[in-house]
Amino acid sequence: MKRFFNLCRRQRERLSLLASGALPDAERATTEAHLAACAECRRYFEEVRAVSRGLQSWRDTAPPVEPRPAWHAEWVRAIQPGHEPMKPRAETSLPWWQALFAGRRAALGGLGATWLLILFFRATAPEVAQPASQALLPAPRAVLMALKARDPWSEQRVPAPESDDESAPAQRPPKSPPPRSERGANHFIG
Amino acid sequence: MVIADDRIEMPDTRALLARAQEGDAASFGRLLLPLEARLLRQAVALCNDPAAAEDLVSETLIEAWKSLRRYDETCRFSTWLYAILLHRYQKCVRRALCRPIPLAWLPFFDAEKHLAAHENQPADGPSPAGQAEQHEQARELRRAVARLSRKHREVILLRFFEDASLPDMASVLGCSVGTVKSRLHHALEKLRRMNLNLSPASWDTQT
Repeated sequence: MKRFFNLCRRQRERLSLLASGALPDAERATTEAHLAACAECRRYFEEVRAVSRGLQSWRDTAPPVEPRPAWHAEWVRAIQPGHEPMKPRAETSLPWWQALFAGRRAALGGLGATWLLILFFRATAPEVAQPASQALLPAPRAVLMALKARDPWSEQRVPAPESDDESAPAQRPPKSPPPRSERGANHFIG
Repeated sequence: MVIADDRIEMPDTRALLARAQEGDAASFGRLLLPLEARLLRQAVALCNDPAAAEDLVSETLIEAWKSLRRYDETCRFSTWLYAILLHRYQKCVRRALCRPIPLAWLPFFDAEKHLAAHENQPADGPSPAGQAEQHEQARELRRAVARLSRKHREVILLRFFEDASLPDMASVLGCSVGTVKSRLHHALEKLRRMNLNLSPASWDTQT
C-alpha cells in the first residue's frame, strides 16, 4: 500500500507537467499509462488541467495590442548613440572586489600617489634639532610679538630702547604693556 | 495569443542580432520589430493598462539592449526578453508598494476598466456571456498568481504566457531542469489547492 502511494506521489509531478503541456515526450507514455490505471490520479489530473486551462484563458483574454509607430521610434531613439546607454555593456560581470573600484581608479590612484609622496619626503627630510621650548612655543610667541607691534598704546608708552644702558638689562623691569585698567588713564593724561 | 516560434534561426535575423551585439542600435530596432506586439500583449496581460505596458516594454527593451551581449542563444530570444520583462515588472511592483502610483500597476488591480475598453471589439470566439465568465476567472487567477511566491510565479508566467519549454526556463532562471519541473508542479499544486472557481466546461468550448 505504501509503495502504491509513493508511486502515485512520484507521478504527480509528471501529471502537473502533462497538464501544463511541458512533459517531455519520453515520459509521456508511462504517465498516460498510469493515468489510465489510477482513478485518484485521474481526478488530480483533471483539477490541475482546469487550473492550466484557466491560465491559458487568462493569457487569451489579454486583447491584442498594436504597437504605435511613435512608441517604437521613441524607444529606438533612447538607445541611439548620444543617449544613455550608448552601447551594450560588456558581457562579463565584475567580481565584487573589482566592482568596488570600478570607475574610481583615477581618484584612488591619485590618493595613493599623494600618500606615497608624503611618506617619501617625510622619510628623506633631514631632522632639524630644535629646543623643546622653541619647538613648542613658536606660534604663541609670534602672535604675542605681532600683537605688541600693532598695539598703539605700547608704542606711545614704551619707547624704543636705543639709549638704554646695555650693561644692566636685567635690572630693568620687563617691557610689558600696562594693565588694561591703566590704558585709558594714560590716554587722557597724555 | 498567437505564440510564434521566433527562435533565431533565419540568417538575416542572426545577422541582425550579431550587428546589434556589436552596438548597432538600428539593427536592434529592426530585430525587435516583429516581437513588439507580442511583448506588449504580454505586458498588458501582466499590468492591465496599455500605457503602463508601453512603459514597461520600453524599459525592458532598453535593459535588453544594455545586456544584449549576455544573450548566448541557449533559449529563445523571446523567452529571454520575457524574463527581462518579468524582472522589470516585479521591480515596478516593488516600487509601487513604496510610492503612490496608478493602481493599474498592481497585479491585483481590477481588470474591469481595461476590459470594458475592449468590449466593442468583435468577438471571435465565445459568446459575450462566456467572455464575461472568462474575464471573471482570469481576474481570480490573476489574484491567485499574485499570491504565489516569486519563484513559483515566474515559472507559471513563463510557461503559460511565454510558452517556454523546460530547458528554456532553466536557462533564463539559472537553475536545473529538475528544479523547474519541481517549481512548476508545486506552483500548479498551490493554485489547485486554492479552490478557484474554474469551470472546465467553459474552457472546452473555447479551446
